[in-house]
Amino acid sequence: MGYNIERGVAARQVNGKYYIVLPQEMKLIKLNSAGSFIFGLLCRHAPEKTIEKKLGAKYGISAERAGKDLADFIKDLKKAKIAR
Amino acid sequence: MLEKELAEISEEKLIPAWAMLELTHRCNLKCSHCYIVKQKKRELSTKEVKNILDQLAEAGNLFLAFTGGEVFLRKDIFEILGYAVEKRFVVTVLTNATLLNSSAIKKLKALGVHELSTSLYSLKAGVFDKITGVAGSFAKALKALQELKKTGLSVRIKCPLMTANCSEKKALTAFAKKNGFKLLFDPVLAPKNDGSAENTGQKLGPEQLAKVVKQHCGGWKYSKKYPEKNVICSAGRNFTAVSPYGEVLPCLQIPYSAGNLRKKSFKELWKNSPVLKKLRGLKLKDLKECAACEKIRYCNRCPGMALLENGDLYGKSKSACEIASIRSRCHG
Repeated sequence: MGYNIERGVAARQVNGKYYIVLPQEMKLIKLNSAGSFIFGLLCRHAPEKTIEKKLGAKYGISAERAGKDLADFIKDLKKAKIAR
Repeated sequence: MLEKELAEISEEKLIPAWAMLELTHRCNLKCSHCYIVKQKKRELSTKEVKNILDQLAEAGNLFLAFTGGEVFLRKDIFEILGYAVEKRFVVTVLTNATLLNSSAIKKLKALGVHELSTSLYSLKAGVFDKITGVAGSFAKALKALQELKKTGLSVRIKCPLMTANCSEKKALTAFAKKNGFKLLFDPVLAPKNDGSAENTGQKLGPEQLAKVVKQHCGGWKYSKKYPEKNVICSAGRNFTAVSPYGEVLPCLQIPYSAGNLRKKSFKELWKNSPVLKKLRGLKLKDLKECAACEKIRYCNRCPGMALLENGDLYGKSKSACEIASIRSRCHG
């Protein structure tokens, strides 16, 4: 299963962190390191399982924890209308 | 707050987070204050523009404004804008809006364009059309603004203040507020790109300028930028521009080419151009008369304006001096 970034969401990685502009409000937000790591993979259309695996490997966490963290992050992105 | 952080990081790391891409110098209006000097050169093709967008995205550009001339004279404009949205830029389009009908505006909204920036010189057809040099242009611009309001697309009105429209500041402010448009007045007219001042005949006289600047003195804070940061300008640091012919410029008001994207990559030009290196190396002490000026804390000096007004990037900018003097008087 994969996720897509909504059309019109502007984003750029600057100095290792993603800066995102929400189209409706024209509001600038910044993701933290882990968020930027996941967002970069989402931009490259990586499947959910791949992101979980890479997240676990990068931060040395279990597959279960990586899956939960990813789900929470995706939930936030959907709420902010950044991902679907 | 976050925008300031991004500006500081990108300025320090030399990432062109802000850019302007001129798509054409052609225009359907003949505005008296226009700064563009037309050149007989071949405009960038659709393919070349897309390639430049790829390179700008790679370089870290986020905020991208398309400008002209009038960009809607290009037949490929919607294709270009759609591509830019896909590449995840914050896309702003600068237009006179006179070529925009309801269908075009809906298309812009559907494409995901973030903001339209348009000039509204006056709410009086006679004044507006005299400034643009084209009869009927006011009616077309106003109709487009009404359509834009219905669509809900973010609109920023830019209004250069001139002798002909200075008295309408209040009315234009009320119009923008009523319609939910952002509004920006600019009391300064930039000379033409070749330094000629023939387009500045409508510039505000000393009394009009003083009145306009004083209205903002209450909200004016001392600029501590020069003494604290010692960075003269963001052009060539976190800001860049590209001409319709592929020339990379530090800024549209500094017409020094860093090189052409038809010959070299943006990455190479941005990193190695002597023009950009020189500009980045400018320090407060390099500004001849300005460095020791007692009014520097009131000054928003722009190197590009200094160059266009007086032919010297390092010299005084007449318009900045005038405004700094008024501000210093405001603060006693």
